[in-house]
Amino acid sequence: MYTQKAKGENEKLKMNINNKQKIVIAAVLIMGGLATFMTMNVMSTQSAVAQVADHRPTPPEPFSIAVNGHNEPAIVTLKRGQTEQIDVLIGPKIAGIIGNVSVQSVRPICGTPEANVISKCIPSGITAFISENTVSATKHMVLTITADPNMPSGFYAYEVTADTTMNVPYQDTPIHVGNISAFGIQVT
Amino acid sequence: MTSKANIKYAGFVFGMILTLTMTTNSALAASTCDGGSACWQIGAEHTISGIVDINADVNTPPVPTSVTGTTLYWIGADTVQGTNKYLTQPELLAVPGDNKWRITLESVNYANGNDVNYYFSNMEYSSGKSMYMEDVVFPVGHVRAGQNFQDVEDLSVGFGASQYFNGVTYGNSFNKMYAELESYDFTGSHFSALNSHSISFTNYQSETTPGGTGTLQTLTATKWASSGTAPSCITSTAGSGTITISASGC
Repeated sequence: MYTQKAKGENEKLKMNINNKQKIVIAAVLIMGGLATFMTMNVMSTQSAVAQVADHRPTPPEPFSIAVNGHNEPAIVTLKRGQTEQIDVLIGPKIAGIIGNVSVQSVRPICGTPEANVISKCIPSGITAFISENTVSATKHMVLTITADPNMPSGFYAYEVTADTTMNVPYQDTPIHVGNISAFGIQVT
Repeated sequence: MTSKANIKYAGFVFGMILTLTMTTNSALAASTCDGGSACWQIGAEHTISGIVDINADVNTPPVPTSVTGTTLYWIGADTVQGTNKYLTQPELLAVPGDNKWRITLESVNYANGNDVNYYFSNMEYSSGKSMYMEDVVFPVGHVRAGQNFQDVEDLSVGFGASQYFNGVTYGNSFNKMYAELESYDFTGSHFSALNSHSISFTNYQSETTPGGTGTLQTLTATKWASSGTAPSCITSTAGSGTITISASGC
């Protein structure tokens, strides 16, 4: 009896130790796994920060645009009822890129669907066309602007845009990048 | 007793690690910095719904000529389309070499912190100028639905830069709006040019319906950094339609 009892106590003790060991091992495994996960998270954040130092990556500037000979915003004077042709010198700053070229008013034309949502608009009465819609090498284009006889006199903001899609080394997805050259039409 | 103590201890450690993990992830998800860089933002924000247009006037303060990291200020908003969330932000970018603020237009995908659209302009301004910023998405059924319109204008002469972004599909309304000074330079003294000056967003309003009347918005002042700490010498306050970002002792 004593032997059997002692054997039973011994088995109980072993089971108890086994249970304790299982709990400790499970706790260690859970904590170890979480600690590894946390370390990986922190390390990946730190390495991302370290790679770019204190600068945000900015895409390269793709195009240069000069309206009427000016790299800075220029004002073109136009009498009502007249048409003017303006020189636009435009070219890629990066070899091999092809850009889409367009001209538009900065604010939408009043009465269009865009002007129903955007806060400010300009009266209709100015038309603007550029002679080419793509650019792959530096070239002169012709910007033709016309003011209707009924166009109210005033200053109207316009812009020539050249843009493209390119891959940049610091991100996985391509980026749409462009240059906007502002100019103003002073209708007299 | 020992077994119970072990379980309690393991539970405590497990809880602490879980809390720390959740807190860290929550802080990182609060905003975005381009390309995974470390940045801070001081300004204000406000949760909204059904907004299609936000706009505000803003001044140009002295340019912080000694900043070493990209620095800019902007109005902007979050818009969601499907599983994609974008931050759209017409902005003024510090160009220390030119001692000017340059108009740029930008949108960022939150999923990876990467630009989807980035446009440079030929408009640069020193201090003392009045500017206008506008950020728009278009409602369902509109001919521009899925696009984002951004505009920054010089209110004194009238020059401006705007663009309809259509490289990705944007949402049909905004759900959070911002006005922020953002920088990738964590050294407070680099902003000494801003001491005793402020960036003042005024007449900050939103519109819920096309052609609707603008409503002045009261945002909540915030200070946030993706890692590290934003300079303590720069602070922000917010009121009805106004957000002021001030520097003192930088």
